[in-house]
Amino acid sequence: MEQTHVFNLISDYVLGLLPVAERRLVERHAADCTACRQQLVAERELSQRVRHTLAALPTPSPARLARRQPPPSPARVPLFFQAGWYKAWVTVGVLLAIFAGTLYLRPNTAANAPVWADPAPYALATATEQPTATTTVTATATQVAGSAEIPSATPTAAATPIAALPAPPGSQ
Amino acid sequence: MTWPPAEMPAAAIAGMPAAEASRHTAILISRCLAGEESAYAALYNLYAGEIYRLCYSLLQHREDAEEVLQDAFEYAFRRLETYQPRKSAFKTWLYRIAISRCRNKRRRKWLPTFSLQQLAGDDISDHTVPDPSEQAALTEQQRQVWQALKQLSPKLRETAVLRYYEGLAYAEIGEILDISPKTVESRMRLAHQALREMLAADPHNL
Ligand SMILES: [Zn+2]
Repeated sequence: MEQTHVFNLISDYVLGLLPVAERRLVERHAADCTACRQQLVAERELSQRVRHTLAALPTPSPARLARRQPPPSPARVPLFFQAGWYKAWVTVGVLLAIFAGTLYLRPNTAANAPVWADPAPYALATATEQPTATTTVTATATQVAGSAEIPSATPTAAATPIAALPAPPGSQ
Repeated sequence: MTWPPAEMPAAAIAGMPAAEASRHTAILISRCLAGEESAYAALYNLYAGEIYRLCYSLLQHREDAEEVLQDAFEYAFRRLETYQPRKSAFKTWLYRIAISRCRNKRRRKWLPTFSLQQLAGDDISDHTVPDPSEQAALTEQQRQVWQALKQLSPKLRETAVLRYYEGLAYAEIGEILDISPKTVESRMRLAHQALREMLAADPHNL
């Protein structure tokens, strides 16, 4: 018979946490030692009680389970509406909205004249100072889509209200 | 003729050797991905009972477990093509999905319940009325164990359920819970010790 008790190894033994050598040690010792064997039995019973309780839990009837079955053919989400793309398009939208805002506000502050009264001077100014609206919109969209390359038109536009735009992702 | 037949009962599959069951699952998945509707039903029938039991053991609430079951399969079906058989067993993948949904469910439920119960001055742990079917299915001794499991922290309960009931290896539990096997082991020791103390303190016990 082994001299020292193995109480502190018993729950690890039952939980399957012991390496082979220690497992053998517990088994050899418990074969001869009543106290350790009793504890081993008690610990094992505890594990079995939990297992049997979980196994005894009622399961819903097949009909009830069947009612929880999701539709068999999942509706495919179009690529543009999936999480990553969705965010990119929202960003593009927000940037376009800000851009449209600056487009309208600029002559108002610079020339101190309502834009709806006489849009012509602004149209002339943009034609000389910065790329056309279409070019800028394309540039913004390209940057949002993840391109690290900043279009050459952007530095020219830096002096214009475009500079007030938040830096697009990927440009820093 | 396609094999396995879609109407194959889950009970027949539960008795299959592991290798055959996993081959069966792989065939069903490929049939699902080929757009065969009956294969989805077969895949669901194969795993729904198991996933429900897992969710019920973790949430200890029948309706919640059924909702999570549906939600988990809805997600699994939608993302079926992202499942990588080389990385994990299908069951492991499903368990991960179900457990993360159980956690969300608990979080969402806990916040409003907590504040309302606090205002009413009630004890939160006692607010769940025992399910009649649960009462009928369990013996007095098993009800004590069920109550003791309820007292465990969610983290310890997850580990305890996967180990005691599912009998999974510590490495596999770690994979499912996204923690190291060493953490699983220490949680299991804590869970076992807590259950032992709770059930030993019970006057009806042994
Ligand atoms: Zn001893």
